[in-house]
Order: sequence, then structure tokens, then C-alpha cells
Amino acid sequence: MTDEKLNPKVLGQLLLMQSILNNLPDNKSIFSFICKGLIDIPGIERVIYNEIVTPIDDSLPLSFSYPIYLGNSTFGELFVSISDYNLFKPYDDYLKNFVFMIGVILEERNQRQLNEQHKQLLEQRIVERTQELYLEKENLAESQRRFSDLMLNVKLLSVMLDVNGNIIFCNPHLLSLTLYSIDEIMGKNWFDLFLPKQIAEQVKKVFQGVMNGDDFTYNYENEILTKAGQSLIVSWNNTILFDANKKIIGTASIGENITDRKLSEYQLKQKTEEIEAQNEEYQQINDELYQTNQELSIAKERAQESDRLKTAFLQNMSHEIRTPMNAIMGFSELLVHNYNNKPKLENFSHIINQRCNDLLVIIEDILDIAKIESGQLSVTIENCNLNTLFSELQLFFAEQQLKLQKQHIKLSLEAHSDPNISIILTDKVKLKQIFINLIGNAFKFTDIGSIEGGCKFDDNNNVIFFVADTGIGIPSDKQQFVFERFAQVKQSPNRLYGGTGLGLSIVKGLVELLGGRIWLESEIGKGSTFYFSIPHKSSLTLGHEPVIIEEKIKNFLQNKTILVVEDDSYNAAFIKEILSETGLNILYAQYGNQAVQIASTHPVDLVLMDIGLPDITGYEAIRLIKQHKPQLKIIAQTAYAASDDKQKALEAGCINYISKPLKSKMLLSLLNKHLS
Amino acid sequence: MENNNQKISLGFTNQQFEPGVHICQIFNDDDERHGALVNYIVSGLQTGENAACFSEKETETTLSEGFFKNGITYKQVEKSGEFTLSKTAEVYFDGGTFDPERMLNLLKEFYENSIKENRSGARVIGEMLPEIVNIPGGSRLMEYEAKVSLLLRQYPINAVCQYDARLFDGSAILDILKVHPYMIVRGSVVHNPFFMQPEEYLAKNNCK
Repeated sequence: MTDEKLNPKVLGQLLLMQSILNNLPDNKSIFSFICKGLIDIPGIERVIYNEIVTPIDDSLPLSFSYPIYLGNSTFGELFVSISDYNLFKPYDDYLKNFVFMIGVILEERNQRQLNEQHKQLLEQRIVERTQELYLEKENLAESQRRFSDLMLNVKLLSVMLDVNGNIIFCNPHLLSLTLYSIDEIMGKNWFDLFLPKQIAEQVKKVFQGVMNGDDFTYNYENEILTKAGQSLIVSWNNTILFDANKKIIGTASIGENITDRKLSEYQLKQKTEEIEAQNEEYQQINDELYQTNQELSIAKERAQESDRLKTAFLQNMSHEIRTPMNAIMGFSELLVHNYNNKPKLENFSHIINQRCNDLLVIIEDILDIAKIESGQLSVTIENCNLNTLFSELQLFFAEQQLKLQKQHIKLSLEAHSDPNISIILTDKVKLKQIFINLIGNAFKFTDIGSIEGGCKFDDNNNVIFFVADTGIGIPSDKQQFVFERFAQVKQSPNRLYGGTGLGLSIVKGLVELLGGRIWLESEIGKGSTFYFSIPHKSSLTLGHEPVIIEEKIKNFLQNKTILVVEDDSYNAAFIKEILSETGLNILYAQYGNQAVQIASTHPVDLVLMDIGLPDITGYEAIRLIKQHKPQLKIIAQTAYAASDDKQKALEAGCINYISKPLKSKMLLSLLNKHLS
Repeated sequence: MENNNQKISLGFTNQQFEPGVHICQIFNDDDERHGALVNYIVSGLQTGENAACFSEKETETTLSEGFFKNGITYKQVEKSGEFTLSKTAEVYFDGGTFDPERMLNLLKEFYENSIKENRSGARVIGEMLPEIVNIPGGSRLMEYEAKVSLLLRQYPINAVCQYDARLFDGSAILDILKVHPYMIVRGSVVHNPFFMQPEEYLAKNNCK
């Protein structure tokens, strides 16, 4: 039996080798150990480990390959050279088993090494993780310590609430601000304890919504109440707290007490509003100042313009007054030297009379414009028959045409054909004055052709009057200035046509005084048409206009006594001369009181009363005379020739009025009217 | 020179041995090495032997706990001379060379002095260093081990030689097995089937 030849020691060696293999560090060490150990097996001459299994070479002496398997793969081989096969043969199977065990051991070893590596990796990971956890724990502890320090020392309010809004944490600053102790608020409901009652329930509902996942407002400001009931405004920064499972467990809030800041902001806002209001006021004042400045500037310009115009006006007036004055003075002087030359005397007297009239017109214009400017011109409404008015105008300008030597220009004035309509309520005197100015102007600027005047009624119950000429016309760029005062001065520096330049300005003032307006249409070389309107007021009672009728009155007034009150001796002499052929008994008074005395003590039929007297005014004298003789007829005569002077005189008790310079015809007509 | 030939314990199991055992421990685990070392020394000291340890790794600290657990105070046994701890290199490579004869004399003297001190015997344990292959005389290591087996017949000192399998080549390990009659396998002392009688080994390797 082969077994009988087995050496137990060899088998023990194989077993021991298997045990020791596990202690060897690497394959090199293992196979050097094995190769050396197997030589002790009888019949083996040499053992080599090959990493690759080599095919058996038959040419070699006895040799065997013992492949080493690791699982299903070949790890290498033990190549055994046999010196004595008979000795070796009994160990062949053991060697095969041994080699098989080597594979198992190597596999186990590999597995163990892998496990070891894995274990080392795990241990290393555990160490690292442990270190990480340690660091995290340290960091967490440090963070908690810092957080705790921060919460304890920071001058901010800090509070944490659970899902029910109950306080689970608060810092000392919150306690010190709200005056509560920690025991008084821990576990209490934040909203019940700190919020004003009127908003607590509402905010609580919002909070519950947030705890159930509603949108969350992370930053807001609200009001909280201290234990003493004092109100604090707090600016909150909030965050939601979650547990490890991402479930909401409450909120954490950091708040800043901004009560003082809010108060400052409120005060600042108020101050700002005050400043803004003040600024607005200043701006308004500024605007007003600017406006005033603008107005002042315009006024200054106007004043300067006015000054220039007035200077020009004065120069013009000077010219206008000096021109007739020159003729008056010159021909007056010549009267003396030609006393015996009747034709010359008549001519000179005519010239002097004419120039005096011119002078009078100038003075009346000046007075009118002064009255218009000062608003002292009053309106006397009376029945005005337009047909009569136009007849008077026609008559008046027939004489003027002679004077102007413009008889070749046809003047046509036509009122409405219906006599009922042609009587209107207005200030007849002023209406006449308007026409005299417009027609006079038309004659002044018209050398050929005609002048027409008339009226019509529009749908707005206005009477539209017009005066149209075929004169030189007015350039369109000048038309807007024609109604300005002194306009002619401005437009016609060469004074071709003469005049004060006040005429159209007076017309405009009078038209406006009568409640109307004036405008014009004009074309150069073709003529101008001036229109003016006044409100149409129909007359209810038709009256008869006094008509001055020139008549022979010599000796008509015999046996009548008239008291002439005149402080100026020349004027008194002039009146005496006029009345010299009337047969009147004439009494004279130079003073007001004297007139009262004479009128009271003498049989007087009529008083011709001057208004401007040295002692009392003519109005006062009239009043005193009327006290004694209420029925005594008094006619006022004054150099105050404004139209409202007549009204004043009538109000004082006069039966009529005549302005200076006295026209002999007018005076005689009046006396005839009231004494015959 | 022999003692009273009482059987002794090596501290690994309850197994009893005749004094003068020569054992190798092929280890790859320092705990295994340290455990075997402590048990071996403690059992010697407990039975009245002097003990010597040659190790680069052991210190008073590493040994004290093990000693103390077994009722031995390190300081005490060190002071009494019952136990000595030396560095391997200082003992084996004294003078920068490995001299088997000097080492054999040391063992001999250690045993003789132990007997003189009325100790029951003597035991040594030493961990060989892999540097020995580069030390002059290092190639005589197996010769030295074989001669230790011869010496122990006359001076029944107990000797355990520790080799770290991770630091020695497999071929060297097998040579080590051939010169130690006993070896420690999984905590037990077993007869080594690779062992060659020292005379045979020395003859085969042409040693004096």
C-alpha cells in the first residue's frame, strides 16, 4: 500500500504550512515559503511557482504542474520536479489537496484583505466622520454658545413660538423692554399677551394659517404692548422652524424696537410737510412776486410808454393850443390897429371866433378824457330820437363843412324808417358827442367822396351805429392802436392832419360808458367804417326834445329883471353886451352871499348864476336863494363844462344850464325860453 | 547543568513542558505577540523563574498592566532582578554585529545566575529584528538558533523566539521553522514537523 510509505511528519508539515501561510504578508513570501517547504516531501527535487501555467514538457525528467485555482480562475501553478517518483507518488494526492487549499487560503486571504481594506476604509471613514461629527458638535456647541451669548446680550428682541403661538423662548432684552419676568410669559400665547386686542385675533388667524403652510411674511412691523400698556413699534425678521422631518414646529423672530425711530420719522415727516407747505407758500409768494414783478415790469413799460405819450401829448397840446392862441392873440392885436376898417374887423373877429372855438374843442377833449379816466363821467338816460339827432348832426356839420371847406363831401345820416323804433333810451348828449367825433374825424381824413352814418338793430337788442367815409383809410397794423389815447400823436408824427389825438379814445370811453363797444373796418385808400353798439332800450314815453331855435329876441324881455352873478368883470361885461338889446333890467353880484342878498330883497325874474365864486359856491348860493324864493328861476353858467355839471346844477334847483364860453345865441334862446 | 527537572508552564495553555523548551512564534499581529509575551513572562515569574525580554516595542508601560492583572508589580520584579527588559538591538547587535557565541554565553550566564539566585529556572523571550539580514553575522542566525537548541539541553533555559511574518521572507520563515522544535500555533505550543535536530541542521548547513 502506498499509504504505508507515507511519513506523518510530511503530512504535518503540509498542515503547518497551511496554518503559517495566513501569517505571511504577500504572495512572494507565501510562495517562497511553500516552494522551500515542499522540498521536504520525499521524491521532490525542486518546486517553482509560476504565475502562468506552463504546458508539460515531455523532454524534461519527471515533473508535474499543480495549478492553483482561485474560484474559477487560475492563479498560477506550482511546478514540481521529481527526483524519485516512487517516493513522491504517495504524496501526490496530498500535494494536490495542499495546492487546492493554497487556492482556498489565497482566496480567503484576498477576501480577508478586501475585508480588511474595506474595514480600514470603514474605520478611516468612521474616524473621519467621527472627527467631522466632533467638529460639527464643537461647531454646533460653539454656535449655540455664540447664539446664546448673542441672544442674551444683543439689544434686539428675540422670541420663539410653538405652532400654537405660545412662547417657548425669549431673550432678556425682550423682557427688559416689555417689563415682564420670564415666568410671566413662558408658555403664554404671544398674541394674547403682547398684541393690542383689536388686532390679536386677526394676527392669530394669520399665524395659524402660516403654521398650516400658508405664505409667510418674513419681515414686517407691528405694535406690541408692554406690561404697563405702553405701545412699542417693532420691526420683525421672522423665520419658520422645522423639525428633522421638515414639519413646521413654530417660528423664530428677531425684532428691533423702532419706536423712537418711528417717532423721529413721524416728526421728520411732519416737519417735512411743514417745510413743503412753507415751500409751497414761498413758491406761491414767489409766483406772486414774479407775477407782481411782471405786472410791475409791464406797468413800468406802460408808465414809460405813457410818460412818452404824455410828453408827446403835452408837446402836441402845446402845439394845438398855441396854434389857435397865436391867431387869437395876433388878430386881437390887429383889431386895435384896424379899428376903422370894418371888413378887416369882421374878418379878424371871425378868425378869432373860429380859433376860440378850436381852442374850446381842445379843452373840452382834455376835460372829457380826464373825466373818463377818473370815472367821474355819469350817464343821463333820456329819450333820444335818432332822427332828430341825425338832423341836428346834419345841421351841425353843414356849418363845419363850410369852416373846413369840404362842402364837396356828401354827408348822409339816416336813422331807422320806423319812428317808434328810432327813439331809444340813452344819454343823448354823449351819443351826439360820439357822432360829432366820428364824423369830424371822417371829414378830417376824407378829401373826396362821401361820409355816411346810420344805425340798425341786431338780434341781441343792440343798436349798431356806423360812420363810414371814403378817406385815406387806416393801415391794418395801426388799427389796433387807433382807440388808444394820443394815438394820432403816435401814428402821425408829421402832424399832417393835426388834432389832439384824443378823439377816438374819448369815443371809445363814451361808448363803453353807454354799455357798448366800438370797432372798425378799414382799407388803405378806400376809407374806414367805424361801428359802435349800445344796448337798445325802447322809450316808453315819447318826449319832445328842446330845440334851440335861433330867433329874434330883441326887446322881447322888456320889464324883466335878471340877476347876473359873475365874479369875473370881463365876463360880466360880455354878458352885459349880449343882453344890451334885450330890454332886460340887469342886476349884478360879484359874490355868492351878495347874490343871495340881492335875490332876496329885489324883484328878480331869473338868476344867471356862476358856480365858481370867491366866497360860497354857486350851488350854496342857489340853495340859500331857494330858501327865500323857491320858485325863482335860476340858470347855472360855469366854466366847469363837463356834462355831469349840468346834472349837478339841475339837482341844485336850476331850471337849466349853460357852459362857458357863453354863446350869445344859446344864452338868448334860454332866456327867451324861461322869461317869455 | 540542570535544575530539578520539574515540568513548567509556558503560560499559553495548561500544557506542561520539560524545562529547556525552544519555541518560535510566527506572528502577524502585535496583540498576538504581546499577549503571548506577557503570558509567557508572567507564568515564569509566577513559578519562580527569572525572566528576560528583548524587545523594541515593549516598555514598562506596556507590560505593567499585564503584569498587574496577574498580581505582579513590574517595578518590584524589575528591582529584584527577576525581570529584565532590554532592547533587542542592544542585546543581539551589541557592537554592531551579531555574534551567536556571545549570545549563547549570555543565555548560559543568565541561566547560571538564575540558578545561583535560587530561582526555579530562567526564561527569555526575544523578538528578532528583520535588520539582522544586513548586520554583520546576521547570516548565522539559523546557526545560532540551532545552537540554542543544543545549549538548552545542558542549560534548560526556556526560550521563545518571536518573528514577525510580515517582516521576514517566506523562505526565511521556513528556515526558522527548521531550527525550533516547538512553535506556537493559534495560541498553542505544538511540535514543529519542520524541525531538524540541531546536529543534522548544522551538519547540513556546514556549520561548526
